Amino acid sequence: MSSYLEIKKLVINHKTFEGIRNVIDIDSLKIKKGKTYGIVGESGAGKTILALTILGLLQTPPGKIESGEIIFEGENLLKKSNKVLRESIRGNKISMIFQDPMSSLNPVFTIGYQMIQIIKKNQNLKKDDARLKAVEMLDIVKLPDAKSTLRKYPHELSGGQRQRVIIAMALSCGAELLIADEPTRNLDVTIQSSILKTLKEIQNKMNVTVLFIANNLSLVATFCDKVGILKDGKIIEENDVHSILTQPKMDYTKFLINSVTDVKKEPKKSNNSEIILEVKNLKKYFEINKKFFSKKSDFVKAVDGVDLTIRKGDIIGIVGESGCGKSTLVNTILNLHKPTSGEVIFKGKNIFELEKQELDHVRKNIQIVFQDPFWSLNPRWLVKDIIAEPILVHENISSTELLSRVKNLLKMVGLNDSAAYKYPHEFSGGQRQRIAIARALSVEPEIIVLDEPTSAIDVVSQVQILQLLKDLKKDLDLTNILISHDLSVVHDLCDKLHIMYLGKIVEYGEANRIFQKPLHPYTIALFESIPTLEKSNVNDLAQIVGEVPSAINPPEGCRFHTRCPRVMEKCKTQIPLMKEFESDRIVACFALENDYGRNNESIK
Amino acid sequence: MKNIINIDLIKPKIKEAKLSLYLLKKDKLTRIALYLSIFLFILALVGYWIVPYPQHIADEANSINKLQPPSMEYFFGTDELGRDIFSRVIYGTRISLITGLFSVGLALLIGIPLGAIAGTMGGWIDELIMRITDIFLSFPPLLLAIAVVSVLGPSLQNAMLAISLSWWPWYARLVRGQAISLKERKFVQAAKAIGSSNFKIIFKHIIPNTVSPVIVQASMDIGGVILTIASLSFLGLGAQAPTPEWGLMISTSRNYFLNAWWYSIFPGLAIFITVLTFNLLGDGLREILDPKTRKN
Repeated sequence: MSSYLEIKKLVINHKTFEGIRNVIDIDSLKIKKGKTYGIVGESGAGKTILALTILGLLQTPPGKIESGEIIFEGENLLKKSNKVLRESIRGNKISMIFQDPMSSLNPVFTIGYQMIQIIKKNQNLKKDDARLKAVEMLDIVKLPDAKSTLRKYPHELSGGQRQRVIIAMALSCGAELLIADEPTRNLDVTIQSSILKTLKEIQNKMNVTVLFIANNLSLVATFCDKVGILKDGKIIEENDVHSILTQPKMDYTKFLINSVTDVKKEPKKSNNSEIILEVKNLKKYFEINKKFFSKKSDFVKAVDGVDLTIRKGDIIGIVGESGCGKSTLVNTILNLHKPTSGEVIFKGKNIFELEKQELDHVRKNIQIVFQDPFWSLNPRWLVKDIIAEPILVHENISSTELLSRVKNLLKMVGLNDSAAYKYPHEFSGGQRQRIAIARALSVEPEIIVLDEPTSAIDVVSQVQILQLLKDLKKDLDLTNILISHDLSVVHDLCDKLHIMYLGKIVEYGEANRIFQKPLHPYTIALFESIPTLEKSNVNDLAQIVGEVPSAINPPEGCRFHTRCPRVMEKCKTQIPLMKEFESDRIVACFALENDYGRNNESIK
Repeated sequence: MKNIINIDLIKPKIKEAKLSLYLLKKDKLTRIALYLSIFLFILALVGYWIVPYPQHIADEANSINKLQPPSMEYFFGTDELGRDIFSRVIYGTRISLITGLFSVGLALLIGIPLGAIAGTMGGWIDELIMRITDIFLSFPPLLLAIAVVSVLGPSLQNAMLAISLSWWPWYARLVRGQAISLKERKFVQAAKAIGSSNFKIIFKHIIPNTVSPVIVQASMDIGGVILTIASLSFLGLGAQAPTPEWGLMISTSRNYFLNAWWYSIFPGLAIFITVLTFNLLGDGLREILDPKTRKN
């Protein structure tokens, strides 16, 4: 069978102020009709440039296509004029799904208007026919109540729904090749799994060829038939999913596979050291005045009654999807927000009742490493000033001593002395995260909060940062609170795990045991939604319905009942309490209470 | 310790400078504006020593040669007292640039801290500061400046003060907007979590990061301020005779408008070129300093 899309000897250069840089150098890439081809690569590997070039949307300058051919259905796309591409290729033959569903829809028009415009233009249909077609497409992508969706504006839809609309748009004009550029990147895992399932279904039904671009090998392994590894603009290895996973040839591929393979951990011995931080029934509501004239206001219940106990030397993981309140929780623990109610007790004292001086002492002892290393470091400061900032706030030392301490810290996180006199923008994401870690370590705190420390950096750096954190933990006996939605990170580092859903903790226990046997239906769904190398088909992913409800008016009763596969009448009205089902396994779920056939005493 | 200023410190600056140069090279108009503004600054610095008749800058009368048209002797002609207009226009550069820079500088000194405090602190402090700026903004700048000068008495210094007073609210607003978005940035959050004082957060974290848009706005405003100073002088509220201020010169020239066209044309041309230069420079700086507006 001949190939449907073929790229031959494509070379693209980018002209920058530092000279010409080669961004794409692909010898040959062939995609067969109806198949799914996955491209895996880090950010900067040239994935998006490749996609844009196929569509003829590459910005020239600064980009320049030096040589090569892109053959699509026997014709070279690079030879075609922009007009031909616009009128007969884009939309009709090849469509693209962009990575950010938030910005790829125009916020000032309704979904219906945007879809109907495209369909009218590309298929010469009358408005009413176009509307019917739009409804049909929205049904295909499984948006509930397609007709009313057409009247909505993009901001009224969630990220997952928007991505479905975009898929519907991309396919509405009969495109046969779909380029999906990290279509699920900013989505939660449970939403990701349902979108991937829908996409696969459509692909089979409409016989669409998909070029799937991702930075995550397990995602591609689950979704695609064939994988190409893209590194620095070159396809360094290409094969069937199965062969590439079992017989990788290049070191880089092996590295990628190893980085997502679960490590088997030794069970930790239980930790009975002193309790260093205790969170008691912490609540944080944000007030929003929805109606202009009414005095009654609504609340976003971001954190709603959370208890945590942290012992010295533990690494506590808090896991949940976006919007579950995990960031609000740590910000409140750090006293960046005032809580609505509840206590955070650090070494016997409630931090919300402290005088300024004592509060400074607490602040010195609880430091944070933020998720995004690009904005957590002041771009106008030298690295030495960034790292020294906490020291200068809390201690009074000479500048010579300060400099030697900064250099020590840099060494500790694996950076060179010379880094001290550079600005943050000269470092890669991973290196910046090291600087952020050095800053957190600078005043020798007892607790370091890690807010998704690896989610914004590439795979190679992720592995290195995790190793660094492990080493530091061993050397310094730190206590960590780790927040993440990435279960492999959590599994690697954490001793104890808290699973959080819509402001409440639903499951708590030792990390290893939760991984072996999750109990709460949400935890199970979460674990099954995550693409891994073992899941070779999208059908292996969890079937979890719906989206995370809004935290403004969270569901009555158990907050998970709207999506729970084991929902009972009781769940809709009563709130399940955290109960101990097995030793040290504390879960809030009525269904489990039935399973275990007893009503344990609720524990707080 | 002795190598504290080592090459590593300078390297990033060099790289940044290279990028700026590269962008500058691509933008012809900005390059012209840059050369012109450098030229203007040089004129302002050395003008007194290079003009043919430095004595005419002061009040020295030369009534034999009054209202001579442009010639090889007097490039731009002479005025009603026989003074060389070329010498006076060149020297006027110094006055205009100094007043322009000083007024904008003072406005920045008032506007930036107030805006940064308002944006960062929020709440009633923000309300208070922003309502005060609203009051200032509700008058057209020129009108406000005229009112202030008439209270303080007409002189160049008072005109500068008046312009600063009517200009700072724009900077306060600009910086406040920047501060509001910056304070959500994680490095500010990190500084708060560390326990840094508000003062330090505002002056060390927020303000340095608002520099780029403020520089752009300020360099565009220098042109506007020079124009306003000229207007005030034209109305007799700014520079007083015999200062060779462009606006004042045009004002005096009105009486001789019909038979001495050169008297008003050349100071007017000087104002035109200066204002245009700074506007183009501001546009170009935005291109270089603000990646969002870069053409590619």
